[in-house]
Formats: sequence, C-alpha cells, structure tokens
Amino acid sequence: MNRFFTITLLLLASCAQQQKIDNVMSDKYKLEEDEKRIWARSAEEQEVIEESGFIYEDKEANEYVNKVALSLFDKTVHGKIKFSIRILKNPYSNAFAYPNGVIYIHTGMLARIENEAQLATLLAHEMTHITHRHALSGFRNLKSKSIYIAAVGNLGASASINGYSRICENEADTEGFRLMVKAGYSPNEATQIFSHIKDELSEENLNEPFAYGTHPHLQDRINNYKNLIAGLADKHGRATNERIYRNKISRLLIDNSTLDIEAGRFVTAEKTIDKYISFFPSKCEGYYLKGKLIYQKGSEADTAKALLFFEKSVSLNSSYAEPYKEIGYINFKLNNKKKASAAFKKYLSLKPNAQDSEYIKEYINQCN
Amino acid sequence: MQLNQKFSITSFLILLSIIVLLTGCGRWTKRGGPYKFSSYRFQCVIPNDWMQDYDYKFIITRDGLSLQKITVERIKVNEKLSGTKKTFKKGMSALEQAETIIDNNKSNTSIFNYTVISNKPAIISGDNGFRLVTEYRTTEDVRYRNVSYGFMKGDLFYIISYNSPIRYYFDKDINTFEEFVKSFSLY
Repeated sequence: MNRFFTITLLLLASCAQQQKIDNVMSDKYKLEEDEKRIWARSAEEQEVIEESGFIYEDKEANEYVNKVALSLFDKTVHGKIKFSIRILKNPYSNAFAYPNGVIYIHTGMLARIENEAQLATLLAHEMTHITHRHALSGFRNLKSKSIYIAAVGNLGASASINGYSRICENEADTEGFRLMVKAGYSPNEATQIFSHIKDELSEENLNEPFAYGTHPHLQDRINNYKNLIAGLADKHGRATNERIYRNKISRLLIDNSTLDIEAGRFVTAEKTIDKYISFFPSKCEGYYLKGKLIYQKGSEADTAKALLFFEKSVSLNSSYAEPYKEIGYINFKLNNKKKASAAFKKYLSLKPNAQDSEYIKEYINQCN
Repeated sequence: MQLNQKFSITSFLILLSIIVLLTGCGRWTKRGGPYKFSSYRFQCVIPNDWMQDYDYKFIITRDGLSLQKITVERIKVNEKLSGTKKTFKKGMSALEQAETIIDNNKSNTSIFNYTVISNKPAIISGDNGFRLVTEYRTTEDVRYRNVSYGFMKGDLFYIISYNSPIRYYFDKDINTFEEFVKSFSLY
C-alpha cells in the first residue's frame, strides 16, 4: 500500500523556499506542465486505492462528507478543482489530499470526529493544501534537493494530515480555519481535531509521528488555532451540527469499531462503541459489539457480562443473527447445552449461509 | 605495488560481500522424502523435487516462492502478530483460532481485496483445528489463493499454509499440499 503514498511524499518537502505560485482562486491560475505530471501520477495512485477493497462505500456517509466539502468554497473554485472526498476503511486516524482534488479520510478519523464543525475544519485544511497548490511548490522545491531520490518511495502510512511542511501546514491551518468560520461553523471546534489525534497517540502509546523536523508539533498547531480563535471578534453561537453528523455516520461508527476489534485496538473500539450506545440506545449493533469486546478480555466475570450485552442486543432486534452465535458459544462453554443449541439453531436459521456454519453445525451435534 | 595488491584483495572481498548480500543469503537445498524439522519438533514428507530454504523457519517451493510455497509456522500464545494486536490465547476453539488469523490478515494494509472463501473445522495430525481458504491481491495486481490448516497444541499454535497465484499455479500443487498436510505430525 506504500505505493500510493509517493505523491503525498512530495508534499512533505519543505515549502520554506517556495516560489510564488498563484493559488486556485487567482485569475492567473493555470495548470502548469509539471503539475499535470503530478496530477497524472496522483490519478494512477488513486486507481490503486480505488481497487484495493479499502474504499468505504456507505452512500449516506459519502454523500454527506462531499456535501460539507462543497459548502466550504464557492462555485468558482469548484469549477476549477473537482473535489472528491473518499472514505477509506482504516481504523487509524488519518486523512490526506492529492493535488488533483481527491481527499481520502479514514473511517477511524471520522469515528473520532464529534460534529460537522470538526469535519469542516479537517476538510477545509485538506482542501487548502489543494487550492494553494502545496504539492507543486513541494515538488519544485524537492527537485532542487538531493533528498528527492532518497525520499520517493519511502513515505509509508505516516503521511497524514500532518504530512506537509511547517509553512504549508500553517497556511492550511490559517486558511482552513477562515473557511470553516466563513461557512458558519463554531470556531471553538477547530482545535478538537488535534485532541483526537493526541488521544490516538496516547491509546497507541506512540510519540508524535513526525519524522521530519520541519513539521509543526501538535501542541504548536493547537496553539496556532487558539491564536486564530482569540483573534476573532465573534467566537460563539455558531453551528456544530452534532446531531446531523452523528446520524450521518451512525453506520460508520459500527463498521469502524469492527475494524478496531479486528485490529485488536480494544481501548479505541470501546470508546466508539460507548459513544454509539449513548447516541443510539435502541439499536442492537452497539450492544453486540460491546459484548464481543468484553468477551475478548477473557475472564469469567467478563464472559457473564458479555452475555448480558448479547442478550440485550437480541432483545432489541430478534432477527439480528450475530449475537445468537455468541450466546450459543458462551452457553456451550458454560455447559448449558440446551441454551447453546437453541441459540446456534437460531443463528443458522437467520444466517443459513454463514461462513462459519460448519463449526456451528458441529457445536449443535455436540450439544445433542 | 604491494599497496595495490592489498587494495585489490580488499576490493575483491568487499565486492564479494556486496554480491552475496545482493543475491540474498538463501541456502536452497533440494529435498524430497521424510524430514524432521527439529526447531518446531514436527515431521513431514517433503514432495520430491521441492527445495527448502533456511533452517530456522520452514518454507519449501518447487519453482520459486512467488509461484508456490508451503510454509509451517509456529506461534506462541500471547506472541505479537504482524497485523492485529490480538494474540492467540490458550484454550481457543478452532473457530476462534481461524478468526484470529482472518483478523490478522484483514488488518494488513499491504494486501488488497482479502476475501474468505471457506472456513471449516479440520483434523490435523489428530488435533482439532481449521481449514481456511482465502484470496487476496498484491500491490503488483497478482491474485493469490491461500489454504491454511491451523491447530493448537498447549501453548503453541501451528499453521501450515499453501500460497500460490490463482491463475495456473494454484491447481497444479494443491493436491501435493494436501498430501503434505496428511504427512505432517508433531513429535
């Protein structure tokens, strides 16, 4: 997957000595020859991403993030750059922009974001990298440096919303902040993006992922935003659209928690699941995942607790197959063969083509 | 003159080291027949004309690793896995073991379009385990199929895998692999 991060690597180059490049809003804006090559390379990398199986297809979430992006710029800019926001199935918090207008956001980032204002902050920041042609200035700067050869192909998954140079990041922060405020969002939400990244680093026991000395540190960027907020005359009473956001990404919260559980990121998964249950207490999926998570801990007390969550889940939706398998399995282990058999049979009746049906049939045989 | 000779010998040794490093340190040995792998304490019958690499891990192929390979891995309970942070736990059922392997592969972002084709219980060398068939695509756009048998013995999880491109190569050696699994036993 490293292959499609090479373009993003170009963006890591310092813009410190950047030449004057007109931004997309300027009347003088024209796609340059070397820029066309960067765009072509970007399109190649995007093709790999699009066919990787990692694209998150939920229509509602995709339409929503694109609608928010659309509201951040006027028609003139959208006429020059065709922005497209794509969501990647990946539980780690990350987002990155290609110079041709395509922005990828991980499900893990969207799961941490709490409202539309925070989403707008992230999108405005990434879109500014594109409108201010940071890839082009980075590329031209790199061309004059020997690190170019060493750098290409060596980026890896660390490319993130923090993946540009200090100057480019500061510009994207400042301009992005201006855009989200102009669009009517609460400025106080802007710093929260970095709090989410800080949370992730702490949960993963990681230091700040800045391999390149030119990148501003998280705290510096939080301070930068705080200064921007302090400079505003009107700081309050603007939109966060929290309820809209949570409804639009409700499915994503469940799907991303599943990815977190698969990846063994139990602390992160638990936070998202608890958030989901508090938002949607009458939906069965949250209790099922909570039970699954607790069961992974493995103690006897945890098993009993997990069983309660699975039972709560089926009480809310008796046609939801997954918790029946877990109820069957726990009862099988506890030697409650009758209950186990009934739950396994219910699971198979609801999901006759389940991938693990052969195991379940064998458990049912052992219950008889 | 002496200095030049000294320089030549030094240069030759450096060059030789570079060649050895560049060509890899693989010690491929042609094998076939009964074989004991003492590091993992298992025995098997290696198919005729297959080659084995390394002594510390078990990997065999006939035409090259990218065309077909059979591997045997041994993972300790609580040992770190490559993709997921989950680990194998003592007493896991065969289904839980298979699900841990699936989660580990799903969490690996360097393989694309990972799909489980089938996941069934199986007996391996007298122990309850699983037979898992999966497919994936590499970054070079080659589609591979993988068949894995896994089982636990005490604190150790064993996984015997056959990996080959779906097109042409997979069918050629799948029966050889199934014979290999039948010949596998711990000692």
